[in-house]
Amino acid sequence: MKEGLKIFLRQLLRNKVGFAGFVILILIIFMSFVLPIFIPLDTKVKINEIYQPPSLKHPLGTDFQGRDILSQIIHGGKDVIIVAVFAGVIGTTIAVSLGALSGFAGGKTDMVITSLADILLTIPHFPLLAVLAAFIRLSSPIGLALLLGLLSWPGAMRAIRAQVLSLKERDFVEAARVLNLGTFHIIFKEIIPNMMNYIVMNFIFTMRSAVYSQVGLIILGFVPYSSHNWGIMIYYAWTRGAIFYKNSVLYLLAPISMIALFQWSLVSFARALEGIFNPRLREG
Amino acid sequence: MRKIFTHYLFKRFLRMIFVIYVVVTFTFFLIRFMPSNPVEIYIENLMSNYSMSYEDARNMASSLFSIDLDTPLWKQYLIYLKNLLRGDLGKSILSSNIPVAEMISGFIPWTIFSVGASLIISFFLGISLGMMMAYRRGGILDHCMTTFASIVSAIPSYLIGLLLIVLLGVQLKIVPLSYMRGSISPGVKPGFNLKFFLDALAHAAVPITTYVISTVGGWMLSMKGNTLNVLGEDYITVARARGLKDRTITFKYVGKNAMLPLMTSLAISIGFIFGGSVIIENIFVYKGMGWLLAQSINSRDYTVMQGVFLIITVSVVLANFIAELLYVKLDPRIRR
Amino acid sequence: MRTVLTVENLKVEYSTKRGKVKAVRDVSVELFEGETLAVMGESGSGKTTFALAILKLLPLSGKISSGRILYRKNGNEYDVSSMSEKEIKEKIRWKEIAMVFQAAQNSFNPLMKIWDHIKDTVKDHNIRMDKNTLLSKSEELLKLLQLEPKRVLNAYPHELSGGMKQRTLIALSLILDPSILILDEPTTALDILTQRNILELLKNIKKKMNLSMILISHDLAIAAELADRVATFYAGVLIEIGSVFDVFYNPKHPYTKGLINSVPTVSRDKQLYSIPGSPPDLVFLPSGCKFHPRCEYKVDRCENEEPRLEYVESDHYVACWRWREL
Repeated sequence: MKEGLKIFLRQLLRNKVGFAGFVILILIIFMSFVLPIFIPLDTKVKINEIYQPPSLKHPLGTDFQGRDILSQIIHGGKDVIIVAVFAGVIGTTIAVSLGALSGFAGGKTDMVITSLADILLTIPHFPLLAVLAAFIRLSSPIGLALLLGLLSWPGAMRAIRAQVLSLKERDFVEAARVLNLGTFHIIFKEIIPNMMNYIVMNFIFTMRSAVYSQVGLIILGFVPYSSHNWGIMIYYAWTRGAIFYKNSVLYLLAPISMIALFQWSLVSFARALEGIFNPRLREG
Repeated sequence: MRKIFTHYLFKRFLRMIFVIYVVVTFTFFLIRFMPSNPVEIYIENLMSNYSMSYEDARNMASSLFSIDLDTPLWKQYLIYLKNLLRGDLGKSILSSNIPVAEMISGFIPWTIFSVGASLIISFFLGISLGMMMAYRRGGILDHCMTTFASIVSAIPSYLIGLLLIVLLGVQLKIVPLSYMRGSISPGVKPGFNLKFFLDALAHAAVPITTYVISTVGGWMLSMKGNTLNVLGEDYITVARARGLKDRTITFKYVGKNAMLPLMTSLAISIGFIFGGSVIIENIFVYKGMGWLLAQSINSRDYTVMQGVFLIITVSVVLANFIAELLYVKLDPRIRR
Repeated sequence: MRTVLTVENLKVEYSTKRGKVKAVRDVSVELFEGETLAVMGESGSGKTTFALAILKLLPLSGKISSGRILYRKNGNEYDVSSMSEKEIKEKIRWKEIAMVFQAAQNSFNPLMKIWDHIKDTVKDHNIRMDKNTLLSKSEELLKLLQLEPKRVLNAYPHELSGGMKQRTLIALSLILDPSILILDEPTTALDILTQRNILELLKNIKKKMNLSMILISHDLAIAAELADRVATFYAGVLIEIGSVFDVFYNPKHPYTKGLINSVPTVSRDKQLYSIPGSPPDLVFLPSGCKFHPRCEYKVDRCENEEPRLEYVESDHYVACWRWREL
């Protein structure tokens, strides 16, 4: 295991951009989950400190109620990341289960699952989410994550189904079948390890689209969050017109930069992983 | 040959119809079975706000939603389908008595215009730059453009929109923000004249720029990869041996073949830009379908919401089908 | 006999991460009018690179580091190696020297009909030819290759079988009346009957047209049937050249001998021979004669000095220190 980690890190180091993405990702996670323990969230309204420019006391300035922006940035990542991770877990679990089921069962089951995937793929997700937001209160992060996950399995499901179909014919699966090891064993012991590539990639890309939808819904005001997060910051900066004051532009730019950085590091890390999983790409 | 061709397209066509049918059915049941059922809410509203009797409120609701609440569900469903086929999407709850279909027809051209223009600009810009990157791989230009592409394609489109507003509108003051609001300046009448055309273009410029910046990176990177693959194909070597001019090889041999696989992504991109338009049109107060959808959700105008969602989805499904047709037309191998 | 093509001291190198791959080293050879020269050798012997270098079609990593390529026509001599890319494109490639690639390759643009390939070729050489003349010429050539002209011209590449595609490519290679045709493994990857068919067609073309051909093949049977002269390449060097008769019946180089003995025949009942070892690493070449690590006749001299081509008889040359004794 330790050896494997070493090889993994060495491979990662070879791709500079991917490594940078990996490091930034770690830093953002550290900032969002560890730093809040030490740095309290500034919630006190201070009328005389509204829209302060960056200073030693407030490195990123203050917001429309005179609260410290930096502390909001530090506390604002947790929800965004939790929703993304949960959506990724749910979406990937569904994709793997349905993909494996579809590939193995074939016939009618396969047809139903693939048609469902086709339909979900053609319907534009964001409008659908927005409409659903009108009916379901999306106030809890987990509820939102569930919804995002439920919508984001079709692409990966198709890839995994195709993999299952091709792996099914290969020797080691054939051998497992001859040994009568059962479908469950074949799927989880033989096929899944061979598809870690697809699974991890899909996980990362689901996270990415979850961040996109989540923040988008917040900016439109469709998700009545009470807690602080980067999306809410953008929403307030936007609706309270923070962008029009020279000193307060950081209130908008800081959360935008965090989201952009998070998304970018996810993609770069994913590309680096693709290179590690797929040795053929390593050459180039 | 021709028969096989039509057969393939026919199957695709049936699938499209099926998807539309599923979406139509989905919205029908969504409006009726969701926890906060809009019909019931509307009836309660009428009763409490206008002190109507339950009977009157019910009648009003049924005419607005174009559902007859007394008939059994399956019959309601059939009537709903029949009305849809006639182009009847019901009436707006808030601006009462304006048919939803009529309302939509005033908003949809702006979205089709801005989204369509962005898609075309982004696609052709992206494939040109992507090819350029592939031909100069390893050079400074390639490095810079690859970095640019990977950064912009990672940032959510609406954040790019916000950044553009801050940069162009507030900091540099190049774009007059208040003038930009809406899809057209007040007083300018739609028609075939230069003034209207220029005004429409000025209002759409920043939204289009946003869509283009946020999607062009993806096209650039895929086109670069595809071009590199095609450059390694045997028929390129043979074409060079045939003494063909660089122009011919670049466009007819490399370009066409590298572009082809992107046609499938085109379909995905259409849905993506349409989806993003819900947020972007609201940021720019650009009065298209996305803006209307968000407004109707905010004001709980369920009939409008249902209609807009249906039309957006059907447009995307149709656009998908057209992209498919294009693909079939361009690739002779798929026609079997 | 008149010479149509002279290759002088040609050297081609590929730059790779491991170092310079010396694919062709100091090869000089002449091609006479109307003759077919077969170039034999294992894969990696530099025979395909040699062919690509003649047309200056090397991939980006490849470079002609020295040597000249002279093309002669109607008493004029053209130095292809010093021509500009534009000139080669317009005047040499396909117009004077055409090349037919391995049958296994996808030689045609999958999105274009065969007829469009023909039109492109003619158009890009700035040849003015009206559509009907071109059409009848194409039909004639396709017929010569036993293809149905109407069907093939209107077909997309994927609608043709491997053998048909290869015959179509041969027809296309003749469309501008070149004087030299280079055939790079023209029958590889085709089934045995199709191979036979293409071979017969090539023989027919050779008989009917005054073409000079360079046939690159690892298949000795094809070389023996089609060629007038045979050249053997090993590790980027020409090690033996001579008439088909001399080389096949009286090979002087141990490597050529090995190649010939490794071909099964009906008449001979001898045990099949196979050359021991594997081709050398082209980045780190062995010293002396490049074949010495695999040669059963090597002496000390072979390890230290590289032999040059020596005259054997009529137009038969060999590069081996011990050819007189073997």
